[in-house]
Amino acid sequence: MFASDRLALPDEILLSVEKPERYIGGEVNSVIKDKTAVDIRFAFCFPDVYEIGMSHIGIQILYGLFNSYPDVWCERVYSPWTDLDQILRDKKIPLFTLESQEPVRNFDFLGFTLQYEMCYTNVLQVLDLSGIPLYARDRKDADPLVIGGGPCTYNPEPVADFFDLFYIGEGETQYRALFDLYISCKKSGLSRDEILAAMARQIPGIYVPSLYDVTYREDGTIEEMRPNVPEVPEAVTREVVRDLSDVYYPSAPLVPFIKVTQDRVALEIMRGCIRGCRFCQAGQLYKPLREKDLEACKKSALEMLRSTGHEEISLCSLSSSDYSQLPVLLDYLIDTAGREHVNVSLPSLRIDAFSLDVMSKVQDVKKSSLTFAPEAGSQRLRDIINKGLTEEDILHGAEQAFLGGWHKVKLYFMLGLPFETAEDIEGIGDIANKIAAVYFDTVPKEARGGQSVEITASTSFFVPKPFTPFQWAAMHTKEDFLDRAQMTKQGIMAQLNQKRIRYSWHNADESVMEGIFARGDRRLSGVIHKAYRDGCMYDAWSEQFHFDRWMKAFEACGLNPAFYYLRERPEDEVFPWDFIDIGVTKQFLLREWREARAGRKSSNCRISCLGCGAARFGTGICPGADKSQPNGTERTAV
Amino acid sequence: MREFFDYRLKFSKNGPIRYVGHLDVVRYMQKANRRAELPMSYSEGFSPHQILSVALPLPVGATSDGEYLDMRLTQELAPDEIVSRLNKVMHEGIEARDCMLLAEHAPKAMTVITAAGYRMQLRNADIFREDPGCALKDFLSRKEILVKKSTKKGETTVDLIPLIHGWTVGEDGELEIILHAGSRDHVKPALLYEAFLGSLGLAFQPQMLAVHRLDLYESPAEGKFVPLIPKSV
Ligand code: SF4
Repeated sequence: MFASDRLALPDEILLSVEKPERYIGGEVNSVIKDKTAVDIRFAFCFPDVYEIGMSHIGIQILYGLFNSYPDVWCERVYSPWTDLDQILRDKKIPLFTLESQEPVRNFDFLGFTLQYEMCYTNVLQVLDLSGIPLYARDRKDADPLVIGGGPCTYNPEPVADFFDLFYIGEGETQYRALFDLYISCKKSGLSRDEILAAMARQIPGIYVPSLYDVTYREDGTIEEMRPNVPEVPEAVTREVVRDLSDVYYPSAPLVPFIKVTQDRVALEIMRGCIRGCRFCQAGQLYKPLREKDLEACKKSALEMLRSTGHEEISLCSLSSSDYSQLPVLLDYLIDTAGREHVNVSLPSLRIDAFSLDVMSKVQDVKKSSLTFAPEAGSQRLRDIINKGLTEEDILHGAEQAFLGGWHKVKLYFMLGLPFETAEDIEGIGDIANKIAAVYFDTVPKEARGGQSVEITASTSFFVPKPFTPFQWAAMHTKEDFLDRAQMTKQGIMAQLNQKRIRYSWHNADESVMEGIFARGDRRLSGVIHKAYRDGCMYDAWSEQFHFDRWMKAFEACGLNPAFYYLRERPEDEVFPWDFIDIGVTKQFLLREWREARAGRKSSNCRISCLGCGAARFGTGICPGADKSQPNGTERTAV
Repeated sequence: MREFFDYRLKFSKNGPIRYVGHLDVVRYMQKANRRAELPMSYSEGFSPHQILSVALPLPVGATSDGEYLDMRLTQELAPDEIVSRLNKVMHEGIEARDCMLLAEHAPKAMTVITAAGYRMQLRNADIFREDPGCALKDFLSRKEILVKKSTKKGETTVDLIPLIHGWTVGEDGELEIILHAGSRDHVKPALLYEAFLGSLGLAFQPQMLAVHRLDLYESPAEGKFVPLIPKSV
């Protein structure tokens, strides 16, 4: 009676691990192909646990896109949780993909999406469990090509030694060309190194770290980074989709069995952002703002709801309030929702009369909360970070919301922003208090229904990121961060309405590590390797994170963590990520850094172009944009 | 005019999907109903949900040919049509097998169940010194099988013999058995094997036992067991 089925793991193992559903595949809309009928087998990995990885929209897009090619079979793999990890090591079972349940090491490509820095040791875990050499230089022709993508590849240097190549930019544009080149290289019997060199030379957006040499100055900063073979580009330009309405988007996304973080249809409505918040990396990386047109959004929404059976849909973008067709789109969705029992889950919208009206239609105002992200406690500091939200906006928005029946408010701030002073920190308690006061002034006692205002203030510690105006800024020590959190707490405690305000803050150790990786260089590969060997894994999970092991790894490698995060960088420093051209220029970022220092805010793309450099992609909101150009960079002549 | 129509659906759960837990099967069925565009009846409120309930949760790892789900539709459909519409959108391993329209105000499946049929086998028969089939036959032929059962009120001792409604043991120790089930005196398959191995001085772990559920039964008369959807003649 024992079913012999396609699973890689025997029942005894599956029944002894937590959530075996993570490892069985077979989800609705997963793709099974005949492996003998394809030229390329691509294993796509999100290096974290299944529930996190399955919630990621980028994987859904590329999974669908790759599988739309008849000659490619793309499968998925996630980090096994620590229980299965141990079993796989003990029993020497190679890590497998979910679809075919076959060992990852037999694939042509192993692709990682790098969404946050704290997943780096999990990349090593996946390589290790797959039986693939951790360092790219140790791999042989038969090993898969290990390719990285995602936001962290805008500074791939800390993990450069572990990857054969990186794809810099939006995945929709060049993978077909990359696959074609791979197939033809294989046919002509080229070696691994020859294939990689051909990719670096011929495919825009491809970066092969082994083809570049880095030299350092005595002070530890970079002297220069240059290709070590001819015809490899000095700068790698980010790939950009020109027309979002005319690019692949999945009509039948995967539907996991387990309840994952995002158990709903995700509809991407635009990419990029018009607002130049100076701390925000995404705001610069995905410029210019490109909207998907209304009809394309509607069509996509219906298709996905039908093919998945999901009961909820959410909109995806960096700042949905800036989508020009938002009222029409939401009307349409709420109308459809009303008929088909679909919940519309709203992204964080700017709080105003419009958004409150929409929210009141789809949420229970008594239970849901309003979200404001002032990010800084004073107008002075909000100008410095170029966050265009004023105290007046917040108090006015809160007042309208209280009149509409809401009583829960969430506030998000950052601590340790450049040029932050004690007054800025005190401002956090002050604004929370004022919101509570607005509630008591607006809602008379009889109208409160036994409830009162509940304010939750959360702070995260600011981490400077590459390609932002704050890429030159110093970060703070853990102790300094915790002092700031303490000051915030005292500031809140001193308020009249302090009983109505709750305060929580992030773990400082993790922010410090994130800060080191974010602006790190190639030498960190050794540290990551050492830390992994010493048992670091799942660093994004607080209970699995061991700061002490990391500090020991630095020591063992003879590197000083302070160099990476505590220094303010001089304006002329060469950064590890300078070889990447994201469109936005370093001069523009420097100008913004100086403006910040001077306490001056900047405009946004809709009011006036700032000349950031992204206009050269010729699309989106930029002056002179022309969407009629094909998606992606023209393929360079071979 | 009826405002809604309650149906009882029988489905199977085989293959890798046996690792999908009970609550996730419910979520799976909700999504399948939507993909099949069945006119489901929804609860009120800001997050409406389909009105449906599973008869008896199946342990993770067990397969089944006899799962039941009661669900409420707003329109009358032919039971065959419900089955075929669902099977068009079902995925590997879950298959709609049968369906019937329930009478108005009929009691829910979970309240009428009296017994569940299983086929079971131990995975590692090598733990036995003798033939596992013989040992199992001897065990089930006892006059009484006393086991400790933990209930909400604490631990009680129960005799399993009156709760076993028939069994056969195959050559390789494969057991087919009908166990009492439902809200009172429910016997979990693992409980029986725990007692069996215990009687031989062996320790039981859930992963040792392969479980396949054959069907769920109700009792129109004392001592009579018919499947929740009677076999069509
Ligand atoms: S070039 Fe101008 S409009 Fe285009 S993204 Fe940059 S600032 Fe905005």
